[in-house]
Amino acid sequence: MRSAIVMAAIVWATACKTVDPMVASGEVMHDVTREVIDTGAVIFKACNDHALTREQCDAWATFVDKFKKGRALAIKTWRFAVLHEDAIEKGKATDIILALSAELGEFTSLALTLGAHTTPSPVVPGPSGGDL
Amino acid sequence: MSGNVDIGAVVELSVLAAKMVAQGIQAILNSKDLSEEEKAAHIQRIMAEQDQDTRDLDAMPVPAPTAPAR
Repeated sequence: MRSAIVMAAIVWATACKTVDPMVASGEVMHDVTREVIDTGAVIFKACNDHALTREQCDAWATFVDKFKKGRALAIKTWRFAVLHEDAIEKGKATDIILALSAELGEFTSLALTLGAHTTPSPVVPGPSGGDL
Repeated sequence: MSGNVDIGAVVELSVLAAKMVAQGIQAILNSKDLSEEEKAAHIQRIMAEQDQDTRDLDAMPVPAPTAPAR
């Protein structure tokens, strides 16, 4: 169910904009990143409101750290692929993002379920990141 | 991951996922190849979006990790 939503989102986001492979992989990276940011706002609020367990909040924080590192590598790889028109490197960048998005699906599903019960409010980031 | 699951929300999401796949397939059927200029413009836009996404991601608040038990 969770991965079905993520895959549907990727198919939809990619296909609705373009089918050029290099452009499409860049679009997917952008869409998945925006999904992380949207999901993060809901989960951060839920953690502050104690609507999630400590383990769930820790799992999200761990995933975000992993996502940032993976995304940085994916962007570096994608930009190399664009510069050299390298389909193999482009494929690697897409693979990294798709692997991360599969993991993201679990948290997105959780955020959507939370969103069905609560209205997320805008969160203003502080200099230290969180205040739990 | 645990937690109470809202069955109504799950059904709603299933319908949404199916609609998104259908729209995606339709868009592929209606699409056409990009010219080199169009592709270059897309690439430039994506790179600018990536830079903005990086800033937004770095500014995103994250729950502070629990200190390990001693």
